[in-house]
Amino acid sequence: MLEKREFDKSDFFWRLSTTVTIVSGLFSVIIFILLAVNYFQITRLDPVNHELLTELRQTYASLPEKDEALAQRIRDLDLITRRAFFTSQTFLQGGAWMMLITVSVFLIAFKNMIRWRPHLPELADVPTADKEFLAYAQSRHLITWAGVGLLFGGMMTAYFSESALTKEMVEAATSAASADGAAPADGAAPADPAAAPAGDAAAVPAVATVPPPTWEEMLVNWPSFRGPGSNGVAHFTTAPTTWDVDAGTNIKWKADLTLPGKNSPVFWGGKLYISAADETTREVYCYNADTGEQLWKQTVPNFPGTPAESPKDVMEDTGFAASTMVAHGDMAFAIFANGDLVAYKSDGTQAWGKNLGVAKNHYGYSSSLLAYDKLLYVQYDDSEKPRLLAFDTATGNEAWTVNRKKISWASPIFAKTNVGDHLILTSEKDVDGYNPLTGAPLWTVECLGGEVAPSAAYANGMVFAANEYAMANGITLGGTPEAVEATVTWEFDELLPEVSSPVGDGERFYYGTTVGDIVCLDAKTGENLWTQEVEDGIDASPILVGDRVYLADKSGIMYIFRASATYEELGKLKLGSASYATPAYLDKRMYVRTPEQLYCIEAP
Amino acid sequence: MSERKKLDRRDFMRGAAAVAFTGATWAAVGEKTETKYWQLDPAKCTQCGRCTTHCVLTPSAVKCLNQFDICGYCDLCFGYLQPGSRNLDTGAENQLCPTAAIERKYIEAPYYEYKIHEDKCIGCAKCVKACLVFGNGSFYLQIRQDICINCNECSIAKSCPSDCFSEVPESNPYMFLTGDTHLAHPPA
Ligand code: SF4
Ligand code: SF4
Ligand code: SF4
Repeated sequence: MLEKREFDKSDFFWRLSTTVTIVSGLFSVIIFILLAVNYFQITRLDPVNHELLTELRQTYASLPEKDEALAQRIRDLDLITRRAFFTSQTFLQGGAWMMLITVSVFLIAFKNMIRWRPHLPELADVPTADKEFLAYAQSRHLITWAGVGLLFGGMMTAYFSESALTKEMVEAATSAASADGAAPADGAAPADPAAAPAGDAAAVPAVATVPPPTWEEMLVNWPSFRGPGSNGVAHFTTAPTTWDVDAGTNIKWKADLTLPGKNSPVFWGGKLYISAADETTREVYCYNADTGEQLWKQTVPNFPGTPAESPKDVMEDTGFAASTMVAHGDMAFAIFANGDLVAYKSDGTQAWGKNLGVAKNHYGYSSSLLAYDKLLYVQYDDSEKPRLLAFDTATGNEAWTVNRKKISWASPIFAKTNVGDHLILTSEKDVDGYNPLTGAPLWTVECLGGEVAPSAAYANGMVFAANEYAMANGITLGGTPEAVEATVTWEFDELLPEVSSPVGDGERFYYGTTVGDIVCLDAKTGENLWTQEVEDGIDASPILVGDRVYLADKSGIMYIFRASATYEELGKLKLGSASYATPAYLDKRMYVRTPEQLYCIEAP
Repeated sequence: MSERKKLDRRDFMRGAAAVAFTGATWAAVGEKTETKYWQLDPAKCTQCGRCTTHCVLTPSAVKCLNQFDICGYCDLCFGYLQPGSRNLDTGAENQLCPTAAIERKYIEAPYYEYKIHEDKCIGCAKCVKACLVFGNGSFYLQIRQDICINCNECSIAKSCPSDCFSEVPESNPYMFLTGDTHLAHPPA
């Protein structure tokens, strides 16, 4: 039997300090859990990139008229988002102090508990039956306290992490805005709260999330300069091999163009897009690819920052609309020499637009656009701040920016390489690979020089980049997707491209020179397999269509030759006029732009 | 005794040398080691937004300042308004700042003052970017030294893509755009 201990001072203090130790210890643990949960919530509550709010604002801006109900909904959602964010932060700060206090109390109480601990009789002296009783009693205590602690902690965690705020956000976004709803406080008070009527949710256009186009969809379209991924390779191998523009043989339709533009046509889902501009006007056109009927024409408006005067540096050879557009699913994007970047839906309504500032660029801005997944890429080569920008295609919000060391007049390419998906860019100094989704630089090779206009090409584990006054370089990609190794394995320095971008078929690379040669190099060794002199200089870029390569010279003659180790001419046909643009190659069709016309050649 | 005296003298010499050495070292070190603080150079900043997320503190110790002597006090302030705002007012649908940290105050036609409430600013640089591209560039980021805990190695500096961060002396811990620094340094 246990002896009954008498109540005394030390016993009282021991019990008191034990209770305080347990309670404060439990509190510390609970506060710690809550702080951790809250911290996790804060990292998810991102007022900067709140998707729904951004989409609603975008919709609001694109509506033809002011929509008070939608404005009110934005105000409500904005208020809730900010409240959630700041409340969480206040809790984090308050919680940290509480944690400090409870831990201090715990330590003091624990110290006292040790100090006042009674000297219990040695267990050896206790009879076996009592030992068992003691052990059970202790276990019961332990289990009870642990259960209470867990229950309390669980309840608190559930209360705080069951996101009442998130629910409110969804409600605010999906239900009608109530007239007496939370008045936006702080700096976000509505301009005239009384003017905001009770809204009708149905009246507000739903912000649908359309999945971005897949690579397979990109392949069967002609989304950008030099085709899918801007890599110069056509998916369809049925492009026409005979035509006569003057006689109209195999010419399906023709459309006249008035405003100048050196960009190439792009195609998505039966629609063809081009842009054109002069000093004062910037226009985007959409054509029915089957009939040549102009479906719509939009004059690009001024955006905040659009300069009143056209940029002075633009050379006549470059023009104000040198950059090829991008067609990406239901959207088409265009960029102009004055820095205007605009997005149209395929029905011609403007989705968003902005001015990026006039790029300081002594020939005029000429890089073409590129898109992949949800991102639109702009190689914005401003000589003071060269950078690669990625925008969310749906909203126009900037997703990320990567600073570049040097500028170029080339365009980015997207390649599915042996070590993952890469964006590959050339500059006056180097060739760089980036992660297309995050912009993280993956590799860089210093091998270029001079004023670089040709873009890179990728095929079969090799990147090819070349420029007049520098070298032609065969760069082997190796290593792993996480640690890519890029090595220049060969160089060639004789006939080099100045404007024309190369294409690779896996075994060889082909390109044109401004003095008028078509050059073929062995992809693995860089050996010059053949060179073919043509009638005029070449600015356009070769396109690989199955086992044939199409390449036009400046006088407008299209050379069709076999992709092989010897030059085998398969055709030499007139395009009807001087040609700077690179045609779009679809199933049995080619869409060609000359300064005066846009037309479709169709194989019989 | 003489033994002890000798010892004392030797000890004294040793002590004096130690004091002289330490003193000289302190003097030398003391002159060079004015406390350094991390600061970012607004002229290099590309407004990538990492200042919001990469500081060890939440919210970040990086805050936006409005340097009033450069500010145009514009009604159509691109740092304050969403691009394409229908109304130039304080409605949340028109505000660019995600935390409504900027207060727009009417001064006289057509001027408005834009004041940053640093307790709400999270240093996202949205306003900085817009003001730089379309406006006078009076908004810019700085590490608030009263908030910064001056980490051994600033964790934003490690991730800044534009190499903006350097250590600056305690006596001059901000990098202002112009000399009128008091205008850019509202009371915290
Ligand atoms: S991390 Fe550097 S570039 Fe990005 S916002 Fe901060 S200072 Fe500017
Ligand atoms: S937009 Fe960003 S940087 Fe500017 S005041 Fe608001 S939170 Fe601060
Ligand atoms: S030194 Fe530390 S607290 Fe200060 S800005 Fe850098 S990361 Fe933030």
